[in-house]
Amino acid sequence: MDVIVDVKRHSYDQLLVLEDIKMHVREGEIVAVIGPSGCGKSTLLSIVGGILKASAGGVFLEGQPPADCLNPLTFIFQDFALLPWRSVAKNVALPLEHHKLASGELKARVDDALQRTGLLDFADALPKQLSGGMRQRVGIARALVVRPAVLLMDEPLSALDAQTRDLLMEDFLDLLLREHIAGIYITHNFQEALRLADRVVVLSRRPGKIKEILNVPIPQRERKSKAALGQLSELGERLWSLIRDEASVADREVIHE
Amino acid sequence: MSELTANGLTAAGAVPTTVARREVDFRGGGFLDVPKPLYSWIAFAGILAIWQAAISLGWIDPVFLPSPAAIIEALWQLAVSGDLWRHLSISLVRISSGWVIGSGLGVIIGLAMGLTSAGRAIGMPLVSAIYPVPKIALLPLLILWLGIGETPKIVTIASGVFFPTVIASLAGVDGTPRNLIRMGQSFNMPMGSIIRKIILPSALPGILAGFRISVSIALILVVSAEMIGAQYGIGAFLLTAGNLMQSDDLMAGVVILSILGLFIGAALTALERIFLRWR
Repeated sequence: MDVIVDVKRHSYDQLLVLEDIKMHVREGEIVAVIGPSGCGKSTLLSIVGGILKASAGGVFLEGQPPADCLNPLTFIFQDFALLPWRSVAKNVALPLEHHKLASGELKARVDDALQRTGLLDFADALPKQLSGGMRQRVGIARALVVRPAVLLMDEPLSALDAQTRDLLMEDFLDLLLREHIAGIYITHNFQEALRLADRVVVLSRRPGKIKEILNVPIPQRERKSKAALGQLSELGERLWSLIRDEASVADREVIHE
Repeated sequence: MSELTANGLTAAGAVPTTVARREVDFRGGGFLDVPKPLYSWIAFAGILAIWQAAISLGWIDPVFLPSPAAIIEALWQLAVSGDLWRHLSISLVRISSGWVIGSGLGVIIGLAMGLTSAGRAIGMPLVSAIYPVPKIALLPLLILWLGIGETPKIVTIASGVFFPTVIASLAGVDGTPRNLIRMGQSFNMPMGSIIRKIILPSALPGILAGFRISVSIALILVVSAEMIGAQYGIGAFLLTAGNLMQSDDLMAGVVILSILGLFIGAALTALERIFLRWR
């Protein structure tokens, strides 16, 4: 299933936030979106996920999601958005409960998602008993349980410490590639974007417009190799040069607002 | 002077000869809540001992302040004669009826105001206007409308309980983290499921905190209402004891109210432990 984004404009009252965003995310493709603070990255993701309605333009789907998919466009949240009164297993089961699934299927899906995220031993734990990394694993399991076609990820690793981020990133990438799930990944972090994405969309400062789309022509599984490091470093510098001046001006704008 | 290395540190083994070494002063003490349950008991026992001694030594006239022993004796007499249960049971029926009606309606209206724009638009001005009115002031009017009997007293208690419960429930709904609602919406959860599975559990701590306040209000109102127009009940008992200058009975009534408040508080704490284990 492809996602076609054609947001002509989006504003909050008089404040224009996004303008002329056109992108096409193909089945199984991972697209990272980076840009300076306040450029509308999260707003764009909310529009793609149907949580916000664009002021002009829209988002369209082409093709069919997998047969067992219950929620084609599924979010993974920066702050995990777990229900603190539910156990891990019940948090993961939440998106299934309003579907008419047989109890056996519901349990099988939950167990499968817990198993794929390494959470089977923590099924009865409450979120407060888990570390940040484990909580985000619960968020990932909850997203996987509906067998999504596209994952919408709003800085999913930014609330975690550097070590946990690196560990989870590798698991996450492995999962996306294995399951052939497409993703839109919002981040500030060039390394994350270049580790994960097939393409990186660079947004300008507010109002966010597409400044450039960079292809990352190295398969994800080869990006840790020595041979790839030079090319990735060049791409990183290119990204930084695209965003540096914008970020500096955006930072001053945010401070003085 | 001691010998310094290139990075500015004293070389290993070198002992400073001219600079005196002293330990950094500890400045992080205090401002910590250390549980001291024994202190509570000692203070309580101390106050009772001083109180008893002041009466026994004739420093205070027992007509104005009876001794703890006299109060215990009065409590015993009340229990033995059956008066304690007669007054207490009537007060308990009034409190529980008024509280259940007031808090039940308060939760329903508070949730309706929190969940619907229309409910908020209609309810907010009414609640803001009526909440500050002391509800006991309505009792004469309620007696006029509903006659002398149990109903005006129960309605007075219910109206006193209703408003803080409305506000607590509304605040509970408003306090539900927006990201949790968005999460529910992102999974296409129906509105009923979002309310039942996300908003209500999230609002529950606020609602239970509101119950704690509303129970205290119910206690104040039952005593006030019974002082105005009742033959039986703790309030009526207190008023009669006061009129007859039976200060030991009067203080016994106050002790009963205090114990009742403690029991209700403990019951609410138990409820919080059951329903808010996740916190």
